[in-house]
Amino acid sequence: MRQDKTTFNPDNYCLVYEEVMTCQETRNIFKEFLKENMAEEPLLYLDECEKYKVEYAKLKEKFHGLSLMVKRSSSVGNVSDLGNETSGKEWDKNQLTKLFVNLKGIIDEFIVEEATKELNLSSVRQWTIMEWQIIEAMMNGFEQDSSNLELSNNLYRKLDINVLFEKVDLVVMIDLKMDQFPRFIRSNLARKFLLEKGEHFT
Amino acid sequence: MGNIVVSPHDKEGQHHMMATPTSNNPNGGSAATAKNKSEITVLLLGAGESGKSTLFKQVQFFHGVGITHDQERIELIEIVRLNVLENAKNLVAATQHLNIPIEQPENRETAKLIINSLNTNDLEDPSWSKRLYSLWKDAGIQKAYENREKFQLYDSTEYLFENLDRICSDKYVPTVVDVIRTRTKTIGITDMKFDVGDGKQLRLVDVGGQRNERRKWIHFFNTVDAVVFLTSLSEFDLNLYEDNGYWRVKESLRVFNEVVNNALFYKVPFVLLFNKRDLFEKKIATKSFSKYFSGFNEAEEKNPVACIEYMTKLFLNEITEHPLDTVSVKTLSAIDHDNSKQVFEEVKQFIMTQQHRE
Repeated sequence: MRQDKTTFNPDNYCLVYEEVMTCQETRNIFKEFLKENMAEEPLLYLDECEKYKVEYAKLKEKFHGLSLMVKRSSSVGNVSDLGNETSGKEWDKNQLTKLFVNLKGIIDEFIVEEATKELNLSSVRQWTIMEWQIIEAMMNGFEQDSSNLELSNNLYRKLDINVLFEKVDLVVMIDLKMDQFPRFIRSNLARKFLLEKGEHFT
Repeated sequence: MGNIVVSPHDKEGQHHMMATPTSNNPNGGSAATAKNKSEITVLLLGAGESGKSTLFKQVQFFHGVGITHDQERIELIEIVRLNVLENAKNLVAATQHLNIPIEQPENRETAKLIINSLNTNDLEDPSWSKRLYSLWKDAGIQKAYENREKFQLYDSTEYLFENLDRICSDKYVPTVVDVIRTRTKTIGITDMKFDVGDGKQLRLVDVGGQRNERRKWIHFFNTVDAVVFLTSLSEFDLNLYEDNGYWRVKESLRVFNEVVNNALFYKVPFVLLFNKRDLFEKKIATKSFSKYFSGFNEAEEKNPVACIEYMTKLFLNEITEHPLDTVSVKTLSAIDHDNSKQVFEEVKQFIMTQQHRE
């Protein structure tokens, strides 16, 4: 956000995508705009993913029995240390299953063809579904033998949506940023918000 | 519907009035009330990448909104550069899928950077103009480009690569043509309004075209006063973005059928626009048109008028419900400013005339 004059005029301000998305207040206004324009599913998808990521990180902490510093956007690298020091431990079957069910919920709601909030994905959809099928097969194996630590670790790693949804996230980001966001910053909703918030909003 | 005899493309760009007027349809759509409305809603429909948003941007431009202002085009710098990167990535990925090696070692280095780390901010550095252009001219990339019907690539690729020296500069401000040429997949809906005289306003509604987006169309079908359906003439050798393996022409015909025969549109003026005439004429010069249409006479395949006539018949044969005298067919090159202006003016006149007939 930048300001050119001392008197407040929303035309002199420019909303930046990354800032709008990280501030809950502006994110909600953007969501309202998207809803009016029948394009809210990408943002709803991102919301669900963030909730999931929190659950995902929690489970890892619990498994390690110590509170690791898990970054919100933790990458695969952080998970790869699982395995060696974990002998004798077992994943909580219920919690790993719950994670799987949560992820299935996102897949069913946003990714599969004809989903109620199907995202506008290209071949990325087919690719993601194929990866998901691998996870489903692993889940079947896990249900039969939840004490198999290697399988459990692999399953947990596969349930990391920073990997599974990497391509989806890119499409969603590009669509929001290129199509709806430029229209949002010119919208009455965004102008009204800037007028109300005035110079205090940074 | 039997055989429809049409003269699909006449040079004057006039619409084609079909016989069989049916004005006493009991399921009359919304147009019945349109005469007294102060707002005429015109819906742009069509499958993905048929040119709806390009036409929409052109109409915005004629009416002095959006991209005419410097500030608004500055905000689009990143979008143009994202297009450059996406095109470059798609081409590099295609050389891998098609097993065509990139020939020059320095271009292979560039390709690696494009796939792994290059972002839009990097393109401020003019050295990228030379590197990307060199990659574009690489024999391997050019060979992949010649085979572009085998993968998904935007129509704007060549234009963007030929304009890299402007785009890769910290002084870059997108031109109107850059904005028109930039591909942005539309999600959801967007609209604009402008005066058309008689105290009336025309509301033009643009929508996304892929399968998931089409499920949203139905929400505003009952408030529509006219439909402009776009289809791309140059898609005859292409498959769908959302379903690679599904022929685009088949999809367009299917969508057209569903829309034109929708009961809500029985009384609504309907315009069918065959878009991308420019690309189409270039394409048939080097590619076989008849290969894709068994019913088409091969001897005529280099004649654009004959090809368009055939396509027109194909589409009009889908019409089983809509009265043909309220259907108009035209060709368009939506990236061409003057042509868009002329065709849209004709479309507007057609719609207004139909409104008065009510």
